[in-house]
Parts: sequence; C-alpha cells; structure tokens
Amino acid sequence: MQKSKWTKWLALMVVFSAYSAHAQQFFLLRHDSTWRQSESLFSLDGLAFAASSGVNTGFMKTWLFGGELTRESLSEISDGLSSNSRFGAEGSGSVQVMDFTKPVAGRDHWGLKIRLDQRSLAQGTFTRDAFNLVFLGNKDYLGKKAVLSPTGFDITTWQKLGIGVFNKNHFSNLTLSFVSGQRLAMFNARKASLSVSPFGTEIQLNMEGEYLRSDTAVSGFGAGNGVGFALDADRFFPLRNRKGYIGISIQDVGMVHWNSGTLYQESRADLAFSGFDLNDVLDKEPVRFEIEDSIFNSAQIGTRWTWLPARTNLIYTLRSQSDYYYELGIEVRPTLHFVPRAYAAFGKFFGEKVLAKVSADVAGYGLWSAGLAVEAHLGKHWYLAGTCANVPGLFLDKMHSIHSAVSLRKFFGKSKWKDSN
Amino acid sequence: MNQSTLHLYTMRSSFILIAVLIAGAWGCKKEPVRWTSDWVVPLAKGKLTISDFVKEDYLTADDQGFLYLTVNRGFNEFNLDSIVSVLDTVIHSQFQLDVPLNELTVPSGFSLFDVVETEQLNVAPIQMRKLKVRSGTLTYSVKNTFTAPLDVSYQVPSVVIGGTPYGLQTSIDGRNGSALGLASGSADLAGAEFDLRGPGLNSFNVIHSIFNVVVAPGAGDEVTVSVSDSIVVDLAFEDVVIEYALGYFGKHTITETITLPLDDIKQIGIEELQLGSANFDFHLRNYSGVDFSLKIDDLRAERGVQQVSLEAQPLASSINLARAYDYGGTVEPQLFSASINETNSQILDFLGLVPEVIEMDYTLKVNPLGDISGGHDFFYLDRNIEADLDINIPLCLAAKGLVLRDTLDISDEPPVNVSGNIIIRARNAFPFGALLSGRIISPSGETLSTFSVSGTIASGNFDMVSGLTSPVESEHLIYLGDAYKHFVPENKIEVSMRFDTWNFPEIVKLNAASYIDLIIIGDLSAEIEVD
Repeated sequence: MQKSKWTKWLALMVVFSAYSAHAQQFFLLRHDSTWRQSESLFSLDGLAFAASSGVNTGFMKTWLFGGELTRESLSEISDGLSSNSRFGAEGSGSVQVMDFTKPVAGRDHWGLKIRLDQRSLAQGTFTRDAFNLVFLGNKDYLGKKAVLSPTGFDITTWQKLGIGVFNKNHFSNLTLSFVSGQRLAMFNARKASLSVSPFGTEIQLNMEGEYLRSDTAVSGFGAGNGVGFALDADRFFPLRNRKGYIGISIQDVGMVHWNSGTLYQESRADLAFSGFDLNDVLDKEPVRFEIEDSIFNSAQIGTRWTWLPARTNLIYTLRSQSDYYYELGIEVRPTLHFVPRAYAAFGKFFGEKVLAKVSADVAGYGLWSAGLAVEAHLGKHWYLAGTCANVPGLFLDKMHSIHSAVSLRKFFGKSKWKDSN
Repeated sequence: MNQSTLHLYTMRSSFILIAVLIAGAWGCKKEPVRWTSDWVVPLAKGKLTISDFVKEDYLTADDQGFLYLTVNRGFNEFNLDSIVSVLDTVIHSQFQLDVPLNELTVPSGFSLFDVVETEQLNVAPIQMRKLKVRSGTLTYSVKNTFTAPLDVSYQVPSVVIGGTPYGLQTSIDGRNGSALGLASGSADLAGAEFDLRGPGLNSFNVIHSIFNVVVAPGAGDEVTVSVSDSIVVDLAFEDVVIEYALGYFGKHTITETITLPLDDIKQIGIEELQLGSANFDFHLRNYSGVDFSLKIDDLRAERGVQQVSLEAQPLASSINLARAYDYGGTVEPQLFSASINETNSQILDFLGLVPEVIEMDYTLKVNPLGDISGGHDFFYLDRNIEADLDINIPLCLAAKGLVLRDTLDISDEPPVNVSGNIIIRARNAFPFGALLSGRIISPSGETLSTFSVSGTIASGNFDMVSGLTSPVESEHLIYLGDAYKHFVPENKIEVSMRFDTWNFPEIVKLNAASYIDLIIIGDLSAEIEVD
C-alpha cells in the first residue's frame, strides 16, 4: 500500500513536472556487474537542451531549426509572460577514458581518468516588454514606456582537457582541467527603457549597461581566446547495503583569462530620435540621426578574468526494492538567469540489461518538464543510454523545455581488480 | 512483455534515438527564423520654406517679406577671341653664302652671315600692332650643313620675354658626312610682349630678327666653306593665347545662336501659370576697343515643344555701341540697358512658360564703319563684350498644376523588408496646396513601383488684404505596397509635387515667412529574418 502511494505520487510528478534525466547511473544496474572486472571504460556523451520560463517549445524549435514565428504564436507567448523570464540553452559533448587497472597513490580502488569536453552555454533574462519590442514591435507602446531591464545574456563556449581520479566502487571522482576559452559574449542592461510618444513622433531610449566579448580575431572550435582551469567533482556516499547513495556534484568551478583582444564596454545613454531632418534629405546632404541628450560610452580592450558558468547538484537516490529506485535532487547555478531546480525520478530495471527512468523537474531555466530515460546493456560490454527530458515538449509546442542526451559506453579488457563492496 | 522482447524494443528505440539526434545535429544547418513586427517610427521632420523649393540665390525679399525670383544669367559667347587670335606660326629661314666662288677658305671667327630679317606672324586677317601673350610656346631648331662648327646668334627684338628681347646664342657642330650639325630648344611665351610694327615701327604683323653666324673659335686658321652649304633656322609659335592686342581688327559680321539653359527650372512642370507681373533688364557692356552693332533677331523661351518669342520694343532695333576707352589698362566700357516689362512686351507669356531654355539668335557687326581708330582697336582677353539678363519676377502668381520633381538616391538597402504606410502630418502656411506622388525608377528610367499620397496637402488660407497666409493642418497616408522590393541603391526615388495656388485663378503673394511643417512617421511592418 505504501509502495503503491509512492508510485502514484511519482507518476504524477512525471506527468506534471520535468527533469533532465541523465541515464548514467549504470553502476546501479543490479544484476550485471561484470563491468567491474574490465580494464578500462570508454565513454562518449552528448547533451543538448533549451529551456525557458517565458518562451515555449514551439518558439524554441523554430528558433533552433528555423521557420516562421507567427504573429499568433508570438502574441500568445507575450500574453503568458511574466515581467521577467529566463532562458538557457546548452550543447555539450565529452569523451572520457577511465582506467580500472592501475592504483593511484597506492590506493587500489582509485583509478585514473582523462576527459575531453566541448561545452557551450547560453543563458539570459529578459523582460516581457523586451520580448514584445523585439518580436512584436513598438506599435502597442504608443504613449507608453517599455521596461527593458533587467535584460541580459551570456554565451560561453569552451573546451576542457582534464585528468582526474575516480573511485572504482562508486565513481566518486575529481578532475582538474585545462580550459581553452573559445567564445564569450555577455550583455547586461542594468537600466533600460524605451518610450514612444503618443503619435510616434519621438522615440526615447534610456539605457545603462555593459557588454563584454572575447577576441573576435580568431573564432571556431579551439580558438583559444582564453585560458583557464576548471574543477569538476562528484562525491557519492553509498547508503548502507547499497540501498542507494547521496551524491554531491560540482562542475565547471573555474575561471578563464581572456586574451588582450577582449572588449569591455560600458554605456549610459539617454537618446531621443524624432526623425531625420527633412532639409538634409532635400538638400541631399548625408542624413544623420538627430540624437538629443547624452551618451557616455567607455570601451576598454584588454585581458579579463571571468568565472565559468559553474553548477552544483545534490542527489539523493534510494533503492527501495531490488527492481526500482527513487531519486531526488536539486541543482544550483550561481547566476541570476537560473533558479534552483528541483527534480525527482523513478527508475525501474527490466531484467538485467535495461533500466528505464521517468523523472520530473521544476524551475531551473524553465518551468517544469517530465522526462524519460532508457539505458540498455547491448551486450559485449556496450552500454547505450538515451534521454528525452521533456516528453510532452516533443509533441506539444506549449511546453517550456527541450532536452536530449545520449551516452555510449564500452568496457575493454579484463581486470584483476575486485569490487570491495 | 518478456525480457527478450523488451531488450529488442530497447535496442530499436536506442538506434532510432541516435538517428534522431544525428538528424537533429545535421539540422543545425537551419533555415532562417522569420517573423513580422509592427513599428511606428519617426522618419523625418522639418520646416520647409520657399528656399527649400527654389535656390536661395534666386530669391530676394522686400521690406514686407514678399518674395521676388531674381535670376541673373550672362551670355559668354560674345567673346572676340575668335577674331583676335594668333595661329600657330613657323618662320623658316635659310642662309647661304652669296659669293662668286664655289669654296672659300676662312679663319676661325670669320663672320659668315650678318642679316636683318622680317617675317609675317600668322594672325587672323587683322592688322596686329602689339600683343601680349597669356600663354604659348616658342620652339627653335638650327641645322648646319657646313662642315665647319659655327657660333650662331639669332636675335628677335620684336619679341620681349621678361623685359628682355628674345635671342638665342648657340654653338653648333659642323656637318660630319651626312650628319648635319643640329641645335634646338624652346621658350615659354607667358607674359611675352610682341611689337609687330617692324624695324620702321610703321607696319603690322611683322616679326623682326637679326641673324649672325661666325666660324667657331678653334676651328683652325684655314677652314673651307662651300657656297652650296647653308644654315636653316625654324622658329615656331605654338598655342599662343592673346591677353591683349592692339591694331585694326577688321570688319566682321557674326550670326550665331546662343543657348542659355535654365537647368534649375527644368524640373518644373506646369499646366497653367499666371504671373501678376514680371520684368527683366537686358544689359550690354562693351569692354572692347571695337565698335559694334548688335541685332537680336529672336529671343525665345522654350519648354519642350512650346516656344514663346519675346516681342519687346526696346530690343526690336539694332543696338549700336561705340568702343570702350582704355586708360593705360583701365577700361571704361560703353553701356546699353533696356528694361523689358509687361508694358513694352508680352513678358508674362514669355516667362509664364517657365522656360527650360532661353535662346537668342543675333547678328553682331564688328567695326561696321571700318578702321576709324587708325589701327587702335584693342582687345583684352578677360573682358570684352558682355551681355546678361536680370530676370525679376515678384512671386505674385496663380498657378495650377505647377509640378516640381526631384530625385533622391537610395543610399542603402533597408536592413529588413518593410511594408505598411507612411503618415504625413502637415501644417501648411503656403498659399498653395500640394498633391504628392512618387515612384521608384530603374537606372533606365522604367517605373518599378508607384505610391501616392491620400488627399491633397491643404493650402494655407491666403488673406487678400494683408497678403499673408495662415496655416492649415492635414494628415495623409502613403501606402507603400511592395515598394520595398525596389529599395536598392541602383534605383532612385522620384518625388513629384503638384501645386495649385489658393483659390486659383486668384493671384497670391509668396512671403518669406511662408512655411510648411512636415512630420513623417512610418507605420510599418518589418519582416525580420535571422540566420
């Protein structure tokens, strides 16, 4: 009876909330633990997601894959926006090799690993008025003031090459990485508004903001416009009798030193535009903006340190029965564009070779989503996991996140190491 | 579901998922994102006065601010430099020994030739006594067929350059086999003064020179010279522009047509223009030292195929002007003026045509009475015969269908496709209304798109008593349609404004204080595309 109530509650969560369901807890695979006798593990992971508390999945799909944003859909999004909205999108991939054979510092249950990551993250905040101006125009703002702050975004793309150690029992790990910064673009409007006179005869823009971007002389993968470091760690505390674990994860705690071509710009502007001077037009003089009031603009080009967009997760996983388990977690990112994301998941083993997990989460960059993850042992030590963390979002344009992940793993060789647990 | 079925299902799902992900990644090469947003933006504003429609140079205002269109245009084709000119001239001189022997043996320093020469300067059929040159070149070449080296002195005292009579002093080698001894050079004639009266100061067009040749020192004590050998000197005057000339310039009759284009007015189209009054003054000034008689055979205004010939009593007969006085370079001209107005001509018809071109057929007789100055006609390049028109039209008029056209360049392609309307809000204090229209034209002049303004910009209210105009407000729409498709830099926008004066055919006065305030606002849909 108790078990049934849990199941129903989780099923409810799955339907009405969302989660980024990484099906990567393969060490929980109950019956098949032959991988523990392998010499090494090769992992290939890929992840892509987009989420927003404001715009919906229909908008995101069009934005990502192209097409027309109809007036009706944009108006519908506008009607549903709160005064401030968030968005985030990430694309990342990694290759990792873990060695099970050699001990580290004389400790037999620790192994070495190396890891190569490519990551790109865009996140931001925007106001309803900012969305309306960009996508619907200013016609509805005649005689009104559009509040454009707080609006901002940052886009960071970087590569990491790391070396670390891991616990062969429960995969707790620590990795220190060299970071190559590819691209940074950051904009923050601290104060911004746009006013339109009642008949459209004058537009006033008041803005106070800053802009930072990395060197643009070289672009693309491995551009190396900055160098830095990053620390990644996962610490799992197995519960007694392998009933589950508590995990703490930190990722991308580090900094990048962007090179001397980095631009930092700070602007304060009170602008008014009431049209070109007709006399100039008729005289065929070069027409110019008649800008009144004041502009302050300060631009500096030089090196600059920035933090990487770090994140941390706290996970509680409980295997209540031998065939399934529960998981609760919270993710925190130290940025105004993200609110702590809570998630819950329910995983079930189907035989010895298949694990399926449904999950739900709330907040983060988006509102809520529900997810599904499947991991399968394909045989010959090949493992494949796929995740779709917003199943409704695949079909319904009115959801608020799209999330896909895939993992491919392969164990090689036979190790003499024995599981101590 | 048994285990094997589930396994198979999972495997298949996994591969489908991978395929979807790969397809998704490939799909990152996406098509653009498009949306349409609605914008109300101020485009342009300004207060336009009459000087924005008519060049300020042409406008004057009286004490009450009432405006006059004043145009001064000069006819420059009366210049006499076609009559008074120096053609390119080559003076060719050949000197041979004149002795009854075949050969002669002479020592170094022996004078072979010492000759005074006079040659004719190739000028127009006139009798030139003196001239001063603005620019030109003198080049010389000397050829020696004697075997002996010679020293040649060639002096031209009638040509003074920089205050010094022109002369050349050169040594020239003797002939070696068939290779002649040669010397050549040139001189800049700018500022040169020619006295063409000859050695006796009683002739004209004469270049006077002194030629002296001796056997070069060091040639030996016994030098054999042949009487069949010679010295050949060529002196060439090229591209000579006369700054001043004195002489008798002859009798001439010139029949010509002068065309005076009025490009600024060319863009004005008109159906009907009634001017309240108009006049122009015709001025003729003779700065030259010749008498002349000018007969204006026809003075006509032309607009397209329309022509109006002016019938003006003051210009009906020949205008005779005596020569100017020259007080040592300060010239006092002889003047003729005639005022043409509606009482002595049909000038209102003439100017009411709003001419694109004024043409004048004339007959000019120079020195009709012959050489009455005793060879003292004079000519200054910079000023000789001048004529001009001072057109003065009080801007009191009644006009219907007066069309002004202007073309505007399209400097840049708009960053986004726009459609919708342009709103024009007008406050008009001109005593005429205006109907605006426009079109986009291709480089070949083909109409690509047209747009018109809804309604006529209402005329201001003209007060017949005070002559002032009070403003009237109106608002108009321009529907752009698909005009944006043709907004590319190679095309142009042609704007036409068709004016009707207030309460036509009442005569209205234009005042310098007249204006139109325009605010132009775009009510636009922008099609935005992001790659």
